[in-house]
Amino acid sequence: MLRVLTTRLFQAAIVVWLVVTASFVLIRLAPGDPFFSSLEQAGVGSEDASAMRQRFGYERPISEQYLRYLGGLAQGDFGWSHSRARPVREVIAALLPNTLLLAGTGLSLGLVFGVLIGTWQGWHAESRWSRYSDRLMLGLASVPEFILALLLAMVFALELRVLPVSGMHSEGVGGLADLLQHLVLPAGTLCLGVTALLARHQRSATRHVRDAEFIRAARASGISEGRIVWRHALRNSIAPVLTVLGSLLGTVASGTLLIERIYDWPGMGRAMLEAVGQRDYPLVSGAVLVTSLVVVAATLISDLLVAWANPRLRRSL
Amino acid sequence: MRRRFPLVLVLLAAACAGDASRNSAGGTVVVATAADADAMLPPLVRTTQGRFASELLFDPLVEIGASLNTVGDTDFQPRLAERWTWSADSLAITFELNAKAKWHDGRPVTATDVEAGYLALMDSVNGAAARANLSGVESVTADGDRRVIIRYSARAPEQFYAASVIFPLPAHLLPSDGGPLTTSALARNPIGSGPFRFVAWEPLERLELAAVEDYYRGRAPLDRVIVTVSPEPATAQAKVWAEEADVIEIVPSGDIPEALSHPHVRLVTGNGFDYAYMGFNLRDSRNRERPHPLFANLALRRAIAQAVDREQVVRAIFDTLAYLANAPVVHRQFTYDSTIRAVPLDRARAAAVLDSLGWRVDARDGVRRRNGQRLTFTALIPGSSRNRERAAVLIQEQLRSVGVAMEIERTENRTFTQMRQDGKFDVVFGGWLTVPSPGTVRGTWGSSTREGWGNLNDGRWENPAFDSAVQAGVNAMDRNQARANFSRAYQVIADDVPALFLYELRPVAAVHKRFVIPAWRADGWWRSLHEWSIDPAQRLPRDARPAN
Repeated sequence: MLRVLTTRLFQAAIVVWLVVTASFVLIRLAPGDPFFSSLEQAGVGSEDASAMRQRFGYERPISEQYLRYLGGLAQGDFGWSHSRARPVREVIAALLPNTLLLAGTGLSLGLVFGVLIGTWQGWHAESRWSRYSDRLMLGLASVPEFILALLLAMVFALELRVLPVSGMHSEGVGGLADLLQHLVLPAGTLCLGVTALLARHQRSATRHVRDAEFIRAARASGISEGRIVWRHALRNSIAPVLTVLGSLLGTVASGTLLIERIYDWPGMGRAMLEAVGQRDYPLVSGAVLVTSLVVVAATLISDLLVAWANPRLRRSL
Repeated sequence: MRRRFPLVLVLLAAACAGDASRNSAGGTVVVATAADADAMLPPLVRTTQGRFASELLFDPLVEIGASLNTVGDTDFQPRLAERWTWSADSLAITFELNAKAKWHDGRPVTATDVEAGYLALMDSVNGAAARANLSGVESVTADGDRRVIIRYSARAPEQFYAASVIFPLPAHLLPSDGGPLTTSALARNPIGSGPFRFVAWEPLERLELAAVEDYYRGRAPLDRVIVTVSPEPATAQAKVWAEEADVIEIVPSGDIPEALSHPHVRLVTGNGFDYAYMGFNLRDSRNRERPHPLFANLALRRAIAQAVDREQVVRAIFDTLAYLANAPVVHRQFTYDSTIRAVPLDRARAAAVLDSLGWRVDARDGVRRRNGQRLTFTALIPGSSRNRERAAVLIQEQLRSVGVAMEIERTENRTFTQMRQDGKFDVVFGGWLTVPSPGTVRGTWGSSTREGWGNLNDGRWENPAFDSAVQAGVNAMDRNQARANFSRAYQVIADDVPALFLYELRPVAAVHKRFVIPAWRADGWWRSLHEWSIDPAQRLPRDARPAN
């Protein structure tokens, strides 16, 4: 198991390195640079922008910039964020917990609801309500997250005024209750998407297991229906869903980008989108590095969870 | 004793009245903006959001008055400098600093701080936009603690205006090792001299400023200013509609009915400093040494101008919320001239001119051709501007009616800027955020400045008559003479058509009705924020938060 884990970690490191290198090169190939922002404000000369580029070494060959960046990373220096006017490390330290809170809440609630709803649907596959709810899940899974986010905000924040429109805290309020209130809409949007996708997988896995011999045997031995579902069927049907969960992490990460932007959630996704627009090279590279690390780590954990849920898979890892 | 009793009552009442007036003050203003401040130290600021923060945190030596007259010193207000005297030859001005002015850490503002502010502006590494206004300044030197002398290389009408862009910096907090200001501790935790002090800045989320209790010009009635950042304009607006924020600087014309449906929202209209234009590239986009195959020809440019109904375009997009622009000048600049004549709409004449130039309508697709070549070009527009996109679509349709095919290329902002700088366009839907000084047209449309031709003037239009008229206007010591020279320059540019000037925005802001606003300044609405107050009867829960 240790050898497997070491191999997976090595593979993960290569993936992260490739992603960071690709983002480092691509953002520099895009037109513009961090010092173009004020062109439409009369009075800024190109001489000033040129001096700024020189100061930050953006006029040097890209290979040299890359080596300097890697050298900085080795010393824990992520560089200076031009758009945030502070070290990238500080920006990430401030924003990463917010993103983890949002994505973690959305994903874990989505996992719980998806598995519960899917199990119920699969177990009562022939019932009318199961079919209706399955169509609802299909509909939810088909709606792009940003549309869902806008709809929820319009209904709950603007029309009903029961939830805040955006941000993490209300001015002058603060506290856990206030934070949770602000978390409802963004995490709810993520949760709905994840729930819909997982429920469909869980439904089909549960249907498959429902007619298995060991379930019939459990029934014959007089075990209650509830215990059969939650103790035996769920344990055997959840492995495929956990596998899907691993591949869903990338989707959640990209969904978080848009959700953070729409709900003004101060997280990594929003920072990354803004950094790309501002050509804030160090922040883009730093955010991509950290995001890919998080996604790779979470995928690894999901693989381990799959192995936990299905001992037969441990050998194939 | 009995006689004294009423006096005690009066004193008590006065004390209570004092408390009551203090209670009626206070409160919080929450501003929803589209982007975070790029920086808060004046020399580092490049965006409007940065200006907002830096101008609340830092006071300049002097401030231009509401008239925005940049000539002479009559319309300027004392700020950190409480008085000034001119030398006999007018080549030096001595400023006396206000003895009560202090930095937010309690240290007095000194002449050395003024020197430091000037040097930071002039340091090219900081890329200060205001540097262009200081080209005539020879030196800024301290004369003791409270006196500073600005010396000029030559007399100029806007000499004093140059002093208004100098924001002193706390010399005792600047990097002692000569390190960059951008990465200094001061840049992240600014200690200013203005009516509000820095409290907190959470990147991408919010900025908090608090009123300075012992501000030398008197404490601001508001307790705090909070800026919340919403990159999605719809979210920023929704915050104001839901009373989560109090101010949004610009409400698009299409969203005004929605704004009016919220009883707590008041709309404020003023004149701005933005104008937009459809600019022609006079050089070949593939080889900048060669003239543009179409737009180097004045007759063709004028024909296109004659085919465009600018009035219809502006009314269709803005109704009355924009002025039709005829030249690179806005109403709030003192050189604005409503008599400038742009090329008039005359589609029949436009068609005749195009015919005479050999461009004949081809029956196959209705587009004109000459020697088999179609009369077509590409218009570059920035992805962020809905207004310019709509203008481009309307103009495209109008040009089609005279057989001219204009393709629209919508690009992301940085790409747009890069393509403009590289001259890789035929036509650009551009815009300028100008300043009270009309002399900035030297950079944007002139051919004689380093900042101008081939850079800000990316269409590479050059006309010596324009340059000399502008220079004469800049040098004129008399306001009327300056106006006359600038008018001459504006008419030259209108006749030579390097661009079709389209509109000058009249921005509409949404503000919560509980605020009492003394003035709304065109050159930065926040410049009167230290005078805003809240109607005590309409306070919201967030206004009750005690002052920091």
